[in-house]
Amino acid sequence: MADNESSTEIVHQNDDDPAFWVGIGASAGGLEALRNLVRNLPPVLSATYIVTQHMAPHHKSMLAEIIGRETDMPVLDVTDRLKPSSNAIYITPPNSNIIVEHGLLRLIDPSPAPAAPKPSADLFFTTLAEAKGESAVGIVLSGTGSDGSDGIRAIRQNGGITIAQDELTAKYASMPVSALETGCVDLIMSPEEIGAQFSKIVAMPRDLDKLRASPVNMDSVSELIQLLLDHSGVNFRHYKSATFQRRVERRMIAVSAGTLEEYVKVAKASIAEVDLLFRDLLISVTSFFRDTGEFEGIRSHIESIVESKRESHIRVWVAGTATGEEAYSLAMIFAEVLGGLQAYERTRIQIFATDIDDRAIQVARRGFYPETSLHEVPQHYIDEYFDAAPGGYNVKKTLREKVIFSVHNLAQDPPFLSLDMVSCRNLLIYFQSSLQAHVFARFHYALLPHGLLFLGKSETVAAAESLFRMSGQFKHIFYQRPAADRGEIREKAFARRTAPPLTTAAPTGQKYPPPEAHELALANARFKSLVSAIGPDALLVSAELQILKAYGDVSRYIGVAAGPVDTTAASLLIEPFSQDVRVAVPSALRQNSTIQGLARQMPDKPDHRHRITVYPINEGIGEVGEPTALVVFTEWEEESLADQLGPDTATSEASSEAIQQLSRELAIAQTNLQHTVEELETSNEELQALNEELQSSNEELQSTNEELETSNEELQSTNEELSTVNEELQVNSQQLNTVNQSLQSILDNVAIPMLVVDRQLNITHSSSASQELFGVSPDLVLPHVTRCQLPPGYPDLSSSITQAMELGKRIDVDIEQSDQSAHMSVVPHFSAAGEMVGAIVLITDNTSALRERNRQLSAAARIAGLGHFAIDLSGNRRSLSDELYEIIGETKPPAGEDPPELTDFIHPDDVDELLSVGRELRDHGKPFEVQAKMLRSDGGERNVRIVAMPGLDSSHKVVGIMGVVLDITDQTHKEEQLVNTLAELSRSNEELNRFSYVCSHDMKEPVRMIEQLSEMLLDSTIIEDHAQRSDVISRITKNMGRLRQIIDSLLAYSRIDAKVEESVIDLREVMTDIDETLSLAITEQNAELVLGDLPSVRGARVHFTQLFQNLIGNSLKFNDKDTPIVKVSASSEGGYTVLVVEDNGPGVPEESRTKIFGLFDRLHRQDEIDGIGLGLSICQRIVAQYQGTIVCDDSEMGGARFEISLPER
Amino acid sequence: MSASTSPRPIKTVFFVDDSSDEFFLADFSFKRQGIVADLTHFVDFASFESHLDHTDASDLQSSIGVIDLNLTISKGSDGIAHLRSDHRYRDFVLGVCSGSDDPADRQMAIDAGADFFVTKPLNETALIAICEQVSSLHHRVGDDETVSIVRSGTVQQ
Repeated sequence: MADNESSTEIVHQNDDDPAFWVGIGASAGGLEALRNLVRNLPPVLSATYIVTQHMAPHHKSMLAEIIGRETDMPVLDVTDRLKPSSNAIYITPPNSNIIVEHGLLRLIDPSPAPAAPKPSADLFFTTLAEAKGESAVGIVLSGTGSDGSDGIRAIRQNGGITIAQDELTAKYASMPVSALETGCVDLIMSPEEIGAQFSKIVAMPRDLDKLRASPVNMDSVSELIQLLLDHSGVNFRHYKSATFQRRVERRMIAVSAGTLEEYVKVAKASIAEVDLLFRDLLISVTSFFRDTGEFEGIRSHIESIVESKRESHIRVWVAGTATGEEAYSLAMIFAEVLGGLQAYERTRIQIFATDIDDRAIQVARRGFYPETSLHEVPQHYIDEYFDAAPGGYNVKKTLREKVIFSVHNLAQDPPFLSLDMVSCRNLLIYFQSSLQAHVFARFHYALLPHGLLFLGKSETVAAAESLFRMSGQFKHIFYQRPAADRGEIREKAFARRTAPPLTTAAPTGQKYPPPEAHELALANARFKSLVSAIGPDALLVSAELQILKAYGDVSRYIGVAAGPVDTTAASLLIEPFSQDVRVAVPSALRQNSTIQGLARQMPDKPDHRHRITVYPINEGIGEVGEPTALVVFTEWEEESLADQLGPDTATSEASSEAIQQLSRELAIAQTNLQHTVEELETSNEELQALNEELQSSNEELQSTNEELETSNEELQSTNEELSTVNEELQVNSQQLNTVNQSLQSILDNVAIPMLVVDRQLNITHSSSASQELFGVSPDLVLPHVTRCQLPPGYPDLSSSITQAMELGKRIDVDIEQSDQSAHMSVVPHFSAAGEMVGAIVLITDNTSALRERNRQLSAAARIAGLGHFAIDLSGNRRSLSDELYEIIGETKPPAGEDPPELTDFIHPDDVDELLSVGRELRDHGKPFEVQAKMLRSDGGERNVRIVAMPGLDSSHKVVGIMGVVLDITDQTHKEEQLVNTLAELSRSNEELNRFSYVCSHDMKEPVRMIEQLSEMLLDSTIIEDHAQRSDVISRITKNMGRLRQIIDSLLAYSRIDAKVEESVIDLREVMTDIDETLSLAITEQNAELVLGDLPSVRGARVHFTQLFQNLIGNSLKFNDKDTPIVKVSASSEGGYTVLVVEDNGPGVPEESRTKIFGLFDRLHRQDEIDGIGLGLSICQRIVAQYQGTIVCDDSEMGGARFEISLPER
Repeated sequence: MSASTSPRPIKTVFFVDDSSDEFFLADFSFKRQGIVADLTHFVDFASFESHLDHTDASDLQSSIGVIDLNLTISKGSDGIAHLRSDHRYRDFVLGVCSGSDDPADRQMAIDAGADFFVTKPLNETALIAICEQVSSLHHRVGDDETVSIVRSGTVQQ
């Protein structure tokens, strides 16, 4: 665990001393890679990042700005002698090279070589490696060329970390692949992975092996591919992943590896396993005449090739031949088409059979196949092309010799050229389409125009349809499409930079001026006469044997043989005259002498002889004015030697003549032979000269090629720079598009009318709202501002804009109409350079807001009961708001009718005051506020407050009256209620004060009395006087009883307000209880309690018990009659329950009928009738609890009558 | 009137109080302290007023009336105001007694026309306080005159 922790420890240093210096080299496609890398870089490492991005020397780069948008780290341009800081990204400026020197970044002049990359990643990486050693990190991103590869090697040699962008993620893979091919790259990752995993990559201590095996490294498949590449030099990256995976899984089973990671461990530990995997990957299914139908199809095409080539060289390439069965199959077909092995042996045919697997090639070269391998081979083929051998068959040597086997990497090694046919069957199916396209380009380049491509049964040229066309009925046989630009094909085929194909030199101009027509006609006439004289049948030929003109009848000497045909005499003349002409014409012209050919026989006339005689014409006779030769055909009948000698005897004369004739022929033949020898020598010399010329030309071509290579490099470099610039421009273009789209979206959706006009007042931009407001069609191109249709109340736009531009400052105009409110701003518009380029017109339309405010105000007025009115004094027009109509209860009159006079609705008591203040307002502009009663049309009455103020014109003259009418009826009622409540509170407060005072006073009295009487008991006279002492004690006891009474009563009084549960109470039951309680008193006083029909009421039982007990108790207590009578009755009147308690006692004096309800107020002294004066107070308080009243008056029975009125509940 | 004028003794004290206990205490105190003045008790104001109707004006000059502030039917201050409205009793020394010494009660009594205000019980201490208060009332007794109570054997101011 400790090791793991330490392995991921990151070295942090202070900001001025970065722990790691990270060099990033990029070229074409680098911008995208850089953005992806930087976007994922954590800003918390002690690392500084220096970017060397190839750029055009004079291009103003925005790279820092573009990269800066992707990260929070500062992105800065490198300046000379800069000391880089941690967590910062530095961009090398264009047209500079960058190096590390004494811990500083130095900018130096770039290489003057036009093709040299600027800045050079190699140079920077190399100086970085030397300066920072293990602290250096080199990253090679997308780009063409190979810049950075040497630098990567230097960083690796000095212990630093090297990273290449995964070529699958690179827009241009050349730079990272080149770096990879140095074998010095530690990690291959996508830019995102590099950024995201960078903290782990630079973790200390350094353990690259562990690092490479760690999850931050490439995935396991990539690692295996890298192992295979290291081992075999074959890059399987572009092989189809499913195929690759199947082969790997087979090996995984073989080595019992459960996971791919485990297998990678095994492979890394065992080169043998890597080799086995490599062999396994190369295994391909092959056999003789695989897919027999396909081979039957190719046969006719092979026949065409053989037919067309005749004596020419036939070249065939069998790519991916494996163990050679396919190559031999094709060889057998060629042999058969050619007419058998012997013809095959004679034919100049080469079949190049290649494969990447050297072991397979060894098998192919042996040419031995077991018998089971030949089951698809027709028996007659076996008989003709195989030799039986123990265990199988050997391919016959004759057949095998024409097949040349070699180890060859189809994707990497140069292809064979000038081929008539390429066979590549069942190999491309294992390649990804990118590699297929690459291989097809190679095949195309290798084939002659219209050459044949023979693919496997499931293969097509979908990846390169522009390069090949189908043959017709056979879907897997294709013809090469001659390319207009073979250079481009070559570029594709070789992937690396190559010189563009040489172009044909421009045709030279005419050497001689054309002769005059009449001269030409005259010369022709003369020449024709001359030819007729020499021999009627003749041909005029050029030095190149081109037939210029025919004379007489030469048809019997003309014939076209099979094969290529041209217009030379050598081609059109039949043999042997063709041969004679090829020899004699050049000799005659060179020696400027007449040369005769041998006498020739022709099959149709064996007794006739024919000879050519060549006359050189070096004087420029002829239409072209060049040296020509006249080939004259002479025919004669030849007598046989026997005829010449006669039937009997040969005369010496005749013999002599025949011998002479033969001697002449021999001399001619010798001469011809000599001429031929000379011709050969001459030709040899010419060939030598030609060879020298060709060598020279070749050297020149090589030189030219080098120049072209250089030019190409320069173009490549320029292309890279242009790519970089183009990428930046694309990014900027995208951003500009985004901004434009955003602007258009804003203009389309912004609710504010907005116009942007140029200095000529043409509208360059307008929002949809403005188009709607001003009626400007969006289809118009740069419409002039005068095309705007101004709504009423708007100022003239042209003059407003012109004024704003002339003043150079903003102009604001408020537009107020009865039904609209708007604000217009005209703002001068300046360019970044401060130049005025036009103006912006902004309209803030507040109409809807105004309407909304009016609606809200109207709602608020309605809720508040606030109406308003306006009187135009000049026209004596009145207007009343809807709310005011509601207040006065009047219907709003129809339009056109005058509204009613406000004073018509004012209470007569208030009209005068209102008219008075109205006159003051009208005459002197004095505002007023009055309260009045308003009489509604429905007879109701409302209290209103009328507030009015004058409307003034510009000269402060009163021209109108505006006012509001506030319905304060509810407010008035509430105020009255408030006053009543306050009075009640005041009374209650007073009562409370009195209560507390009376309580304290009346309670204090017995206490004080007890105290003083007790003191008396200590007096000696009292002590000695027993009677007096008893008197004093009796008085003390009496006062104590009174005190207890007071306390009990107060308790009862205070409990009245306590919350008690209410219910429906049957008062008869209450009376029954009271009768029992007072039964003793009733009996003692001989009293009579008369109960009427009592109802049930809702309330607290304890309250009503207390109420009636006090009233009935008082009636008994104060009654002076011998037979006191107390009567209790009830009735219902006007929603009230009326309860009456009356007696036949002395009654209550009228002046005391209110006082008796006061606290401790009594009509009798204590010594007269016992009591404390709280009973009736308690009764009143109970009744008040139920919002009822209790009054005292005279009873018809002669005594007091207490009437209690309770609202029915 | 001279500075050497002897104090005017109180001969009769009319005590109006509905509590028999108060009178019992006052009477006991008078007797125990040897106060020679007569203590006449009335249980209500009506009986006191009735008694005054039959009293000579000369007798009133050596008498004082002490009325309980809180009588059952009426207030003592109301009774004083009532008497003061009668010219016969304008110079009659009248005062209010109360179980409390509430300044509001005192002020109410003075406002009604009382010459003094004392707290009960009506004993020697209360009588001395009455003498002091009445002696300070020059409009009632003159500049140099004082009012005193008389004990049996001695007279104390």
